[in-house]
Amino acid sequence: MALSSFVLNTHPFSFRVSTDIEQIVESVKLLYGDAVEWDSRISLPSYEIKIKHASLARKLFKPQSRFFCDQREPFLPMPIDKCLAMFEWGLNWVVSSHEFRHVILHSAVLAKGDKAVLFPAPPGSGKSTLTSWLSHNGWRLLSDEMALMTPNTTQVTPFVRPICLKNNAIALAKEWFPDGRFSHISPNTHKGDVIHLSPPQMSWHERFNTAEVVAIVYPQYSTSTFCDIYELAKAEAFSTLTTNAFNYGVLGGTGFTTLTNLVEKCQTFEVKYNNLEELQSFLENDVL
Amino acid sequence: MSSNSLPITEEAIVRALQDPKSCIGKSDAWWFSFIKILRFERLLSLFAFRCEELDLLVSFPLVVQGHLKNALIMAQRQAGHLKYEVSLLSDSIKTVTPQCLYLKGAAYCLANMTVSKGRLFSDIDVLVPKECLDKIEKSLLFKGWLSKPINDYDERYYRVWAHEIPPLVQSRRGTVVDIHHNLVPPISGKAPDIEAFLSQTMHVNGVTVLKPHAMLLHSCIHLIFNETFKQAHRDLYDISSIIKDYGNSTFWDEAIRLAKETGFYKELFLGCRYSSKKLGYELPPKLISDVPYTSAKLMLLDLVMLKALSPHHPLCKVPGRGVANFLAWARGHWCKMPLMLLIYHLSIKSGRVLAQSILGKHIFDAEGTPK
Amino acid sequence: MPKKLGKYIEEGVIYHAFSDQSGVTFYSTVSNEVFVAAVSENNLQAAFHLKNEMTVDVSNIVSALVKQGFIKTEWH
Repeated sequence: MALSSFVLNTHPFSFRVSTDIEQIVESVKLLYGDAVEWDSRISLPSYEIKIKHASLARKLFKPQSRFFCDQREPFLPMPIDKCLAMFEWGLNWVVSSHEFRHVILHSAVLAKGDKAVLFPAPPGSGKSTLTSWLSHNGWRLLSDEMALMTPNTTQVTPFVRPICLKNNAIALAKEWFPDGRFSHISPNTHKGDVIHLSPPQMSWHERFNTAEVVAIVYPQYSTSTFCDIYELAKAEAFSTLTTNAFNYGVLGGTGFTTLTNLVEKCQTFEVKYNNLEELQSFLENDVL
Repeated sequence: MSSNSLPITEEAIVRALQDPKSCIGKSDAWWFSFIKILRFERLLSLFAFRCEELDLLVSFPLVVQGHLKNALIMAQRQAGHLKYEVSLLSDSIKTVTPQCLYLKGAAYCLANMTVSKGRLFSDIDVLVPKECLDKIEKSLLFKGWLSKPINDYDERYYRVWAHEIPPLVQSRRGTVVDIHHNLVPPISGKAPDIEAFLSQTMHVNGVTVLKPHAMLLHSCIHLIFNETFKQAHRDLYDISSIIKDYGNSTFWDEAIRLAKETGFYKELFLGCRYSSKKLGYELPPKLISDVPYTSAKLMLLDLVMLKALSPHHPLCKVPGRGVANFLAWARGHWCKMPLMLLIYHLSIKSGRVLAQSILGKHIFDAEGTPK
Repeated sequence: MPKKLGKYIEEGVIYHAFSDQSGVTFYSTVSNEVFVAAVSENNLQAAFHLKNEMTVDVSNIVSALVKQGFIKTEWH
């Protein structure tokens, strides 16, 4: 395939992307919808991205893809069947390595209207299952993995991108959302099998609107627990939050005060659950 | 949308850095290329710093403002944490030896020099006595400093040939320190007399650094002995800034004397020559008049070096560069090593398949990539 | 309540005591390290062996922090 170019108008950053990988073009069309601009009027995108086949020789027996942000190549080449995962991780890398005007938290963030809840969670906690559920049940997705906080405020800026689901979550999500816009599976990545799911139209439509965080909820999927809610002491909530923040280290004092302010202004909970509807009900009735 | 980007000449880049106000009103396409080039050449934060001083940010497109602000935050953060890191490092080193001399970017920053403003540095460089290397490495390992993961070949280069420890990373804080015992790899047979440099130091803000004229010489040596000239263009700005701030008569006398005493006059001459030609400023007669080359050789050197020292980003088109790069790179290597070793080294770096079949398997990472 | 610790935002430690009394946290602006102590302020004072009330003059807190190695004397 010849080199194809488009702009990803994902607020608050835009990416000019060039690729010769058909799978990328198809996936991006499916997952990013209107945010993909083929004849874009954006003449000054934030970043230049290239994702392409490794080399002609390589293409023949062990095809690989390579990801570039201008001249920088942050990853080793990956087998072509993981190119979409590579693309998504690449975009995460670009933002987290270059952008310091927000305090970036490694957290999902969703909102109903203008009130948002942060869901910081390590891998394995079922965060993405929760994210996909809420975003298909009346909540808008601001981000699946990177919450962009305006320093010293509780304001969060959406950075809407596809939701990344892994392993067991894949089958569940496909069962719940048979009409969902799913990508193909990137098999056997270092995170396991990975699939991407585009959040519904409302999330994309609202992606230019900020929200205010009112609660921080640490979700932990637990097969044996229906829905247990624990209010967290602020010191503990804060402590866990600092281990989740991507870049508060670069921002120094500003990062610190942003997080203390956030913990003070928000309700803080830990939730062990196996029932999403119950959790959703708690969030909508008791938290927002 | 076209995927062609607008190329920018080297002259335009230099002009933009020296007169940031001239960037007002530039097209989006120009900015898109300019930001990419600056970031690659490690000049983005310097440009950002100069623009901030002149209060120009608001006159630029929003996307540009964003990039410049990010660059400023990054530079500020580095500067802020350096003092602490150096304090801990010095404590560890001083348990072994009192000689603890900070070099290059870290030194500029510790001494609060103009050249450090908006200048990012990736490692902390420190010079210690050769016989203390092992003890210092052990002392730092004890405090959580680990060898930065690099491939086998480069590790051997460091330990066996260059008699250096590979860079050490503090496992918790992520700082990298490069511990040197000489200013140029001694394998080159051209190691300067360290004592001559050590007598040209000053104490500032609790640490020992070279005096400005010695810093200039060191910077010039580094420029000319470059292994790859990929990011050497930025060093021209370092040289220019040091000269601008300190270049009085005494400074030049001492720089020239030290250069001749240590046998690096040629490097001083060339470093200053190329910085002044590229960035458009004057050098004092005492340096210009004392030319250590025949005019024919100088012309040849100029031909190669002026091209090699241009920005290397693909959007900055410099005609005839490919060959110049190779020659300059080969020269850089030549300066560092005896001929036999140079051939081995070159064949590894430039002819991978051939080298693998002759010399055995090596694992190469993609260039410049932290994985 | 050592509000005067706010003075040290520029040069040393940023301090925050959580409003639900669940603990305190310090951030060292020089070492970029965060410490969270799940102790009440009273216990913290005791831990620092502070005998006096926190007054306008917070040099006793500073010296305690220095003693604990949170900040180095030459940094403030």
